[in-house]
Amino acid sequence: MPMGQLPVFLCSMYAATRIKTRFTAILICASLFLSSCGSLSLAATETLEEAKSGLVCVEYKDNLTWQKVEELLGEPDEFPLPQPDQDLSKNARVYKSKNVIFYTERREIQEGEKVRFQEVITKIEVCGKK
Amino acid sequence: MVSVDEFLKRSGGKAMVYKNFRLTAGQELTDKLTLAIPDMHLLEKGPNDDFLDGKRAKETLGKRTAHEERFTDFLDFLIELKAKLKENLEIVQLGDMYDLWQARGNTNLIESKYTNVLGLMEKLKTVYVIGNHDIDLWHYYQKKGVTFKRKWRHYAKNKASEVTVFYEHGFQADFANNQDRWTGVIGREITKVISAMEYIEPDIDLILGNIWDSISRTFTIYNAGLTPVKDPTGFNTHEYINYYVGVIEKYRNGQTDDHQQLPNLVCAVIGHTHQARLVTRPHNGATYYLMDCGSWVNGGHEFRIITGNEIAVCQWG
Repeated sequence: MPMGQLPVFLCSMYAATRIKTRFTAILICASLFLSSCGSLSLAATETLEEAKSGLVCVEYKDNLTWQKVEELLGEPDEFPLPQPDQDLSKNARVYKSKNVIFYTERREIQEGEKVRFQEVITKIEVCGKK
Repeated sequence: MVSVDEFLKRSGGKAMVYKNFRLTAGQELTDKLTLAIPDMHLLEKGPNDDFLDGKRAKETLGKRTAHEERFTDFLDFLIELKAKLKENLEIVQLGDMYDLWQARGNTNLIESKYTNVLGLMEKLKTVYVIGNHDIDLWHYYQKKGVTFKRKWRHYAKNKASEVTVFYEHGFQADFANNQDRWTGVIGREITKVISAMEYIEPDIDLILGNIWDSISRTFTIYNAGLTPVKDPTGFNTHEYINYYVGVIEKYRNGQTDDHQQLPNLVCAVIGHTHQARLVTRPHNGATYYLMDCGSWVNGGHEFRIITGNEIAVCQWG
């Protein structure tokens, strides 16, 4: 993209100082500040393997036992009361600081005559620190 | 083979030739309809997403826009055409499909925002060429030989005449953006600064681009006799014409880095500058063509087709 060209930037800086357009000068200074902040805050590019190192994960599947989840992730942080319309054997348990990994895939769908696409979840993992 | 006129007719009037950028070459360049889509710079539908139209309006952020609808409409047409022409339609994306220089989450988040666009392009069996803004795809797993189907350049050879057209992004000709050189590394950092400016003034890239254009125009006046503007065989000036004439001649002589035999290479198709142009250059007894396909950035909606001996830069919608 031509925007990357050094002369463009130098010309804009030159214009800012010579024509004394305070706005442009402020714009350049602000952008330098923002870009430095941005480069600090942007996550480094890492692979899934790298992101999962140091984590222990349990993948959701039908018939996954609670015992298995607790073995891997430990005791939950909260134990809400059962819902009033359900019996006592149906419960929810809350972990407040676990990582959830959604695996996505693009799938073709048909919208009338048009071919369209949507991302669907193909796998879910909940991970805690090792 | 589908002619340019037939293509325009089939589009129902949605495709039109851009600025009379159309010519008939002296030889059959392709044995199929080939179509090139230039820079798209897909981002994450934030305020610095140059593909997103109407980015100033907060209500459009993160949603489908008229520009996205137009591009999707274009792809829908190509899906229909592909169903009829099958292998006789080849589509090449010329790089900078993703804008990874500004992306917060590499291609990952972009995929979630432009699912239809990317899905349709994949369904069209698009050939992807790498650009300077998505060159990271080339580097992520280079040691493992994985480049996510990205090519450095693509050659399309007419099987009968062996005439060859080659496609590359165009950053290779750009001093400040050639990612193989230190100048390109500096250019990339400057672009990040300018991109950050877009959070304050969304059109800053256009403003600075106009400053640069005015400087270029002045320069062109002083060199009027030397530029293709005054060349009766040229449609418009192009700063990369000499570079690409050099590349074509070099490749024709067998000096290629990728061991290709290209004695009949005559045409280079690029993007990168975001300004559609079509230039012819007679040189050493041959006629060479340089097609710059424009962009789908900031409202641009160009593409180019080559079919048989016909070449045209077109717009959609």
